[in-house]
Amino acid sequence: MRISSETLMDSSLRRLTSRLERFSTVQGQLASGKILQKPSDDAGGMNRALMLRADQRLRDQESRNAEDGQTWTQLGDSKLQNSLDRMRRARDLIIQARSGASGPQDRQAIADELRAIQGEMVSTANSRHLGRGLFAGFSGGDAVTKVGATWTYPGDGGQVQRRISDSEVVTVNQTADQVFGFSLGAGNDIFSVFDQVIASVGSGNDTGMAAGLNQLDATFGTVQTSLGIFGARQATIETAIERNREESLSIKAYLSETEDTDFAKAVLELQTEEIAYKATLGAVAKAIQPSLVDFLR
Amino acid sequence: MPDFSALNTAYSGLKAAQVGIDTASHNVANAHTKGYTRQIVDLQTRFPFLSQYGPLGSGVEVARISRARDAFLDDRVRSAYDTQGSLKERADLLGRLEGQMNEPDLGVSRALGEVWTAFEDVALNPSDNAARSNALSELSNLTGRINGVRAGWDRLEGDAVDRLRLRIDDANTALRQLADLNTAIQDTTAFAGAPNDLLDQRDLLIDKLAQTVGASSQFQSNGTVRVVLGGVGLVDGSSVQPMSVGAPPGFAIAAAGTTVVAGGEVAGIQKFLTTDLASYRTRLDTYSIDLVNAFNTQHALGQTATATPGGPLLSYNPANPSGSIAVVITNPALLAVSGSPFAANSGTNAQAMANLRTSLSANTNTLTFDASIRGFITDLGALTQNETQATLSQDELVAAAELTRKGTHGVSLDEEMVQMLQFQHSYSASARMMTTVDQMLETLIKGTGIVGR
Repeated sequence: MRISSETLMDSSLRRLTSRLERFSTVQGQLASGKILQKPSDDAGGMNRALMLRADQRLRDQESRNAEDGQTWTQLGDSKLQNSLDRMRRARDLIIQARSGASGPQDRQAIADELRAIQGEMVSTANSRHLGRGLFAGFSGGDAVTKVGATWTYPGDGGQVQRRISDSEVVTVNQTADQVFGFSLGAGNDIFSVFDQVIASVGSGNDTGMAAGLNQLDATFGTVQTSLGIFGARQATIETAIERNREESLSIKAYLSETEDTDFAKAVLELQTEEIAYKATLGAVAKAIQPSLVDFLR
Repeated sequence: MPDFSALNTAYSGLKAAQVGIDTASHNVANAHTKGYTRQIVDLQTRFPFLSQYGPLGSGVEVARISRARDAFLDDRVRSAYDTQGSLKERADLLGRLEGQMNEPDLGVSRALGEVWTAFEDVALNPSDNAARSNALSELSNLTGRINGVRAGWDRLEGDAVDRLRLRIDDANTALRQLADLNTAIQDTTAFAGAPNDLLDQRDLLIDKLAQTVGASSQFQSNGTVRVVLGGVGLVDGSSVQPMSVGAPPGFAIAAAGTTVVAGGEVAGIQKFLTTDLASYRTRLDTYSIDLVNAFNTQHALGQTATATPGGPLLSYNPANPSGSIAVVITNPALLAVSGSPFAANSGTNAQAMANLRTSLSANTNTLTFDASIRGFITDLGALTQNETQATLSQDELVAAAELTRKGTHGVSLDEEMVQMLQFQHSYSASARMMTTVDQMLETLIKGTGIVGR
């Protein structure tokens, strides 16, 4: 093949440019820390990276959902534990009132304490979390109110749900009508029972007190059931949080493998490219320099 | 036979050597002129004298100064240029199309992800106005990104059309120059032989035309070149048929009243405009419409803070869906967060909106919105990647063809130095020959008739 001066220049220049291009590619990967900078760098890799990024965002959201759900169930749980304590105390008081040892003044004191306990129970039922009734469903108002002489549940059956994974949705609230025995029939809810018992204790009506004791036991059962439900949901949420954390870690690792630069490898490559570039420079300098002109006199 | 014809013969040697040196110096001077072809002095012996001893050589003459041009190599380079032009323009424009999407960090895919998250945050705390406002602003961020991509693509279309017109203008200029050269070459050839430097200029124009519009050329017997594109003669002798760019969406190229199928850069731009940009724009439009429909349908199922069904959340103008998609609602209280019937703390509908993430509402109900935009990005990325690769390998092909051609056509300085020496020696020798004959004559003229003196 005939080599003209221009051929030599052109091919030398091409070699230099292509070397420099490779050098700058590796340099860019090192500087940005990413091997995937635009979709056309590696369409398949970008597809994977986009999927992983979406997954990552989902897992983050789910962990936020789960943590929020955890607050709900923990709060509900502690409120109900507290209610159970108060109900136990009420039970003891009623038994004490029924014993022959209590005179009218003692019963009056007991009735006062029972009224205080009822008040605490009402405020427990109406407790709020971030401005929302813990036991009021979706309703904005109180969970329990007294209309005339009747205790009512003005809330709705709204279930506060939290998505904790792609397939799992957990209900994190329970409504006062379930928890406090409104579902046991009119007059059987815990607040009406307290009304009845307080009246019976005040008047020394032993039959009334005995009936109240039975009704109290029944609502005790519903509160305990609700506690059990909270416990089970808490366990579900905790498992989800744990699993989510692990998944998040493995997604992060995979994502980094897909789109991040392997620094050790890139530095090595950069070094190799630098040597190759210098070698090409040297070769070009040697090839271009001499011509017959230099040797003719 | 004249006496002392050697004087004349030597003179012819001097002249030939002079032409040789002139040509070598022309070659050296033009070693790096674009499109220059090395010129070669073709020498031949002069017609011999008929002496009584047979024909006697009468010296040398310059037959012609020819170009070291190989038409076959030209064809190879030009067809490589044609393909390269088309691939290069398309890959370049696709790269810019891809660039306008700003994926993966600042594009639609990310904005969409933020929308899902924002709605799920509203579901966590439905009565919180800040969460609702945030959902609205993430939503308008999403529509803004889509608008941005569309606007970028529209600008890109404008650029591409400008580029197309520019290429055609360039090609038309080249056609006119070529016709002028045709005339000049024809005139010169008639009385002075092939004008090499004009031929070089013409070849350069033909190269350019191959690259721009993929035109081919046919040599005519009168020395002119006929330039043909799709069966239409663009240049015939000195007459020119300029090309024109048709109206959108076809952007067809027409010459002499007929539509011609162009190649080269023009074909690449046309393909980008009519196939790539058009289809991706349609996809983005469909995607926008799907988004609007899915969000509005779900939004209407919910209840706003004032216990009314949700009104339209997003809107678009059918004339330009992706360019006009926008959020209608600005008051966060009008976001239908609650399920139906209304409840103050219900976030059921917000969760349902967030759950649109998993509904197959995009791509004629076959894909989720995430998968659809991802497929979109990946398709475009893969296409750009392919075209870029194809361009790179075509670049190699062009370089190889060009290298071979330059090897044949180009000037080698070493070779010209050798030529220079050769003709220099030849000149010196011819000069010495003249001196010798001159001395012989002197001997004859001065020495004759003085015998015995």
